[in-house]
Amino acid sequence: MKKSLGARLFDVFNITLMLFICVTIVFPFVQQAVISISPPDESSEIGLHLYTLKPTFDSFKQIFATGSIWDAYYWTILRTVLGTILTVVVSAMLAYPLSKRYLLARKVWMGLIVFTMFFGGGLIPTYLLVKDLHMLNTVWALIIPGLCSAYNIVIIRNFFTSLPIEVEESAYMDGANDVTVFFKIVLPLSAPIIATVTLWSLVGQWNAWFDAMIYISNGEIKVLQILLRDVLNNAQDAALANIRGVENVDMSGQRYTAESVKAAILLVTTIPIIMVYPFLQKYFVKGIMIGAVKG
Amino acid sequence: MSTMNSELELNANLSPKKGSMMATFKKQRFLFLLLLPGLLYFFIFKYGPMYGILMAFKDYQPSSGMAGSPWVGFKHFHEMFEMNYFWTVTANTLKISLLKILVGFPAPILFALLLNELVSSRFKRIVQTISYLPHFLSWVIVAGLIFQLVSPSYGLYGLLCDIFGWKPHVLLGESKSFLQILLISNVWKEIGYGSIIYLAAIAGINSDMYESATIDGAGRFKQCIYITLPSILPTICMLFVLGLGGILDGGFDQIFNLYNSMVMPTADIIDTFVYRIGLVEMQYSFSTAVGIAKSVIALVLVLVSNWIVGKLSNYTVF
Repeated sequence: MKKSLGARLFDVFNITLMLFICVTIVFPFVQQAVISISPPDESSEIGLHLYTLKPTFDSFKQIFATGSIWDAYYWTILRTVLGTILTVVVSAMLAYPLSKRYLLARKVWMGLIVFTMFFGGGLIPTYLLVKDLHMLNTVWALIIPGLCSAYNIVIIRNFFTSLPIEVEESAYMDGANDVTVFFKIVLPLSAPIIATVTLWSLVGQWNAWFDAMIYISNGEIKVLQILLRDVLNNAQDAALANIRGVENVDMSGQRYTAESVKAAILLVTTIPIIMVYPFLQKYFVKGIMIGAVKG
Repeated sequence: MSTMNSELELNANLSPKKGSMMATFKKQRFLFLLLLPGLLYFFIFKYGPMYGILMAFKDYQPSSGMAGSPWVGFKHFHEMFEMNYFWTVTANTLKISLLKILVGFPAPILFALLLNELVSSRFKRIVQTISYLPHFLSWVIVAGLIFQLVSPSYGLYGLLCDIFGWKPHVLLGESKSFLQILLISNVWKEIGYGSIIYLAAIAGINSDMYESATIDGAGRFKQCIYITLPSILPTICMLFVLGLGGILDGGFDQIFNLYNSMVMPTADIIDTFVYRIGLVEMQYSFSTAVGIAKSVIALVLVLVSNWIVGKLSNYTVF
């Protein structure tokens, strides 16, 4: 079928718009990457920074020479791995009995969980609770308080409900109890939802910074996001102070290096996510649909 | 299928009607074993802080604890309502949220509709993959990208000023441009990811409808208006109501990572205010009272918006 002129014009417009959107998303990252490997005099110049003729890895050498970035990686990976495993296991364990219609007082448990989606104690009471439990300045403060969310429980439960009951039934016949059935039969059958929640939690843990900011005050546990925030904020403060005309904050010379170091730290925080992201993408899409269709 | 299920349940002898509650509990002890860690978590970390709400009605002293602190009734609430700054912060929150909904809510819908019109499925996939990316980054990272882009002394904005001879401004330091940056960056970050759910809804539309519309002579635009949009309307309504629930959120992560003292009068929202008076200035009781006021208003807003959407479209979330 031949397309009308209007339809063809629309196609051209549409494709151009989509290309434009893609460019606005990719551009900032390319720019950061180029700035991070540019020599100081180049990285501080006005310009697009889409290529450099004198690539140097000094800024990366500089940040990896200090121990703080390695520590930050350690704490970030630790909280991500531990947090994700605990979140997934505890959430799935909780969701499984709730998928059984005959569970004693099921509606009560479900109601208690769903209620937390709409109402909570708020920032200060939560902070004081974590403090009273002596979790401040420990890695547990980054893992335990945000362990389960009602939303996750609801979508995992809905998935379990849709599993064929016959498989579990035959295991009961063979004398297995609920715990065995759950770990040996239900969990392996639930790969799509487990993958989804794992990935949500993984990305959430990697990106989290607020809990680290409020629960860790002695600076011993510093995750990547907080490290990046510190670096950016220092630079931002200096820039604002400059504008207000405060004396002695002229960092000419110093700031130039800071620019490529800032870019380098931003990249080392981002790269792990960007690397795994294309592989995770389809699970996320699947997950959001599971959540949308039945949640 | 349902009769089969109930049969199986009877076979497993787990029906609560068959014995006392204690007997049922005993039979289901392994299920409760699985339930235990999660329920404990919810009681301690979700309901525990709700006990802490009491401190809004007390003058909480960390040294004397919750029980030892004196009751003061609604003192903190009176104080809050009489405080001019509280109303400033509430107005800011509403303004920022409403603008975000106005701009940020239709954007993914429009994006999904346009994506759907792309002829090449390969190009469509590439655009999708790229557009989802920013969602997976924290606001700390995105703020870093923004600082670079809007800096008058080296970013893209600096270059534009240079080329067009504009007078360079500190965009993040001025209320109006700060607000614009909030809105644009919010759309930039979430447009792709937000479109997934609409794309899924569009994929679920029966293709027969499009075929018969084509036979009737409807073009792509008319098909979009008369078939696609009405078909995804329930999804739109659902997300709208859920979005209104967060109307008093304003986006803590985003604002907290971008704001500075120069834009405080317009950028400070309830959440950032609660954080500052609570954890920085340690006015625990007052800050908790502000937090409660926010929760209650938000809850009312969800219920009201759900009711309105229900009236308009016969579709409710609850």
